[in-house]
Amino acid sequence: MQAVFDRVFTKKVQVAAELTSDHVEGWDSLKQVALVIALEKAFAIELDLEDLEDCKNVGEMADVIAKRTAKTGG
Amino acid sequence: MIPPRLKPLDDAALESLAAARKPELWAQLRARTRAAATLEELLFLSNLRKKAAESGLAPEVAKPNPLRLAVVGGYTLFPFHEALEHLLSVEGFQAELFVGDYDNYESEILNPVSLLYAFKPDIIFVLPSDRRCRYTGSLLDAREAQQAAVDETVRGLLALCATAHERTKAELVVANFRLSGRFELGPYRARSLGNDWSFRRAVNTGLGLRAPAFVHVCDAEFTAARRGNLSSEDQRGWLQSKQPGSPEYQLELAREAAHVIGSLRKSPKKVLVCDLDNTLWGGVIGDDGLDGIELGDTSARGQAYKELQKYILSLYERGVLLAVVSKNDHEKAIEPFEKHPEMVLKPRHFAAFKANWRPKSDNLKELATELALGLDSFVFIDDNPAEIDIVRQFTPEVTTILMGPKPADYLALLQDCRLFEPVSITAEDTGRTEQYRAEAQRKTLQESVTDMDAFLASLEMQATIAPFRDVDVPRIAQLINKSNQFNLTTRRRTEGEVEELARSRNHECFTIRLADKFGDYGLIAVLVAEVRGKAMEIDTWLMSCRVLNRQVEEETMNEVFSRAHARGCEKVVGRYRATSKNGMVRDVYERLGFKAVSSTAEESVFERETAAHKRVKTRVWIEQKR
Repeated sequence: MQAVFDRVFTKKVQVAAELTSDHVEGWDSLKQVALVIALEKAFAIELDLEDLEDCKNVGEMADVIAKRTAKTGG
Repeated sequence: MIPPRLKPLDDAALESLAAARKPELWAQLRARTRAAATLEELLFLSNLRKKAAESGLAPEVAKPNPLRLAVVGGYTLFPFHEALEHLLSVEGFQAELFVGDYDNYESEILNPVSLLYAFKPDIIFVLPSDRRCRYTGSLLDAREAQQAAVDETVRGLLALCATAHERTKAELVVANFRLSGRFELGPYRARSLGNDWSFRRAVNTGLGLRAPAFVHVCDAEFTAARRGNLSSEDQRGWLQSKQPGSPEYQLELAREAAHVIGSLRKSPKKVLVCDLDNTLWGGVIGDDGLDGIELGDTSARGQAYKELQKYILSLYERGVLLAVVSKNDHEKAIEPFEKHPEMVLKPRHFAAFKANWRPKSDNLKELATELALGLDSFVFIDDNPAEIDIVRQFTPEVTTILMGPKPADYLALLQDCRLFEPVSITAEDTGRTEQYRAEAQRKTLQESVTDMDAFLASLEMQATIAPFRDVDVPRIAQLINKSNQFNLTTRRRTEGEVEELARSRNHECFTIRLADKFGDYGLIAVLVAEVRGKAMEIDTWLMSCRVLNRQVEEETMNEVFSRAHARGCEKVVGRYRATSKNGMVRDVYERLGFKAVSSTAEESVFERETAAHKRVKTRVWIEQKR
C-alpha cells in the first residue's frame, strides 16, 4: 500500500489506517482515478470507485482490497 | 522500431537516481517512457519526474517559454492530460497545461471570456465526445439524410475549431472518433450510415479531408484500431469516472497526441541514407557479383528487398532525399543500379552516392556539408550493428535504424519509424531532389569559374520579393520552424502566428523566391521586421542555406532599408541570438555594414543608420510583387 502511494503521490504520504483524503494535499477525486488504476495494477484486482467512496480512511480501503484479492483467489 | 540506446533501468534503480539527483535520470526516464506499456507505469514515471524537479534536479534543457497547451473534451481529462504532459516533457517540449472541465469543451470554446481564452493557449487539444457523433434518425432513413447528418457533424466540429482558432490563433489538434469493437449489427453495419460504426467512420474521413491548415487530426480511430478496438473500450471507466477509454488506450492516444503536437514544433527528417549490401539487396555485391545478389520476385528474400526499395522510392516521391553510404568500391556498388533488372531505385533517385572504405560517420559528415543540411535531419539505415554503433558514437545527431537479421521485417521497420511523416506537403517538398541535384551541378560550375562575379552573373538569377501571401503561409511556417543554420533569431511560429504577422500594421514582412538557369529554388528567405518608433527592428531573418553567398543577403538588406526609409525609420536594428546551429550567421550583420552596439554570449545587437545604407548592386534580377 505504501509502495502504491509512493508511485502516485508526488509528496511523501505516510500510509496509516486512520489516514483520510482530507489530510493529504492533492488527494482529490481526480487523483483518486490514478490511485484506483495503480491499486488495480498492484493487487491485480478490479476496484469500483464507489467501493472506495464509502471508505472512511485508508484502513477501510485496505479491507476492501483484501476482500477483492480473496475473491479472485489471489 | 528504433532500438533504445540505453538498457532500461527498473523502478528501484530509477527511484534511487532521482533521489540522488543524478542528471542521468532524464535520459533513463526518456528510455523508460518510450517503452512504457501501461498507463500506470507512465504515471509513475511522470510522478518521478515531478519529484526530481521539485527536489532541485535541474531540467535537461531549460526552456524559457513553455508550450501553452489547452486540453479540452467530452471526457474526464485526468489522468490523460498528465500522460500527455509527461510524454511531451521527456521529448523536450515543456508544456504548461490548461485542463478543461468534463464535457465542457463546447462552452469553453464558444464563450469568449472562458478560462480557456484567459489561458492564452498556443495549442488546443480537443477530444470531442463520441455522444455528439451519432446518427439520431433511423437505420432505415434515406442515405442522403444520413450523409447530410455526417456532413453536419463535421461542419459543426470544424466550426468549433475555427472559432477557437480565430480567438487565440492557436493551432487545433482534434481527436477523431474511435470505433466500437462490438459485433452489434454484424456485417449490416457497413450497409448504412445510420449506426455509430459507419457514421463515425464517415465523420472521421470527412474531418480529415475538410480540415483547414490550422486543424491537425489526432487519429484516435487509427490508434484504437492498431492496438485493438475491443481492448480500447472501457465501459466501467466510462460509467464510473467518464474516462475516454481503457487506460492503455489512453496511453497510446496520449502518445499520438504528443507526436502530433511535437511534429508542429520540430521538422521531419529530410534525408534517408542507405547502406547497400544486405540492406537494399541480399548478399555482398563485391563477393557475390551482379548475378549472385538476392533481389526481385524470384525468391521471398529477394522480394522483401524489392518491396523495401519500392517503399524507399515512395519516400523519394514525397520529397525525402536519398543518399548511399556503403563500404564498397564505387564501380562495384553502382553496378546493380545500372545493370540489375530488378532494381527499383536508380542512380537518379539519389542526391549523393558514397561508396568507399572510409568510416561511415566521416561520409555522413561530408554529406551534410555537401547538401548544406544539418546532421540531425539525417536517418541512416544499415543491417550491421557495428556500423550503426560507429555512426551513433561519432555522429550522434544522426538517427539510426538497425535493419536486423530478417529482410521480411525491413519494410515494416521503415513504415513504423515515424520519422518521415509529412505535416503538410508543400509544392517545394516534391521538387526538392531536383533542387539539390541542380546544386551539385552549380558546385561543379563554381569550380570551373574562378571569378566570383562572373560566376554569379552566369547563374542568371531572378528573385521575387513578395509580402506574406495566404498561399505561402504553410511554406513560411515550415521555414520558420525548420531553418536552423541561416536563422538569426530562431523564433519559431505557428501558421496562425504567421497569418497574424501578415496582417499587422507594425510589421514589415516579406519573402524571397529565387530561380536561376539551373532550376527554381522556390521560397527561400523570410524576413519579419517590427517598426518601433524611429527604428526598424529585424525580428526574424532566415534563409535556406542552399542559396548562401548568392547575394540574396545583400538584396534582403536593400529591401529592408528601402522599407525603413519609406516608413521614416532612422535606423535598422538587427539581432543575432546564438544557438548550437546558427554560428554561420554570427557576423552577417557586420559583413553587411552594421555596427555592433552590444554583445553577450547569447545575443548580439547591431545597428545601421538608414541614411548610411547605399543600395548594393548585385547579379540578382529583382521583381517586386505587392
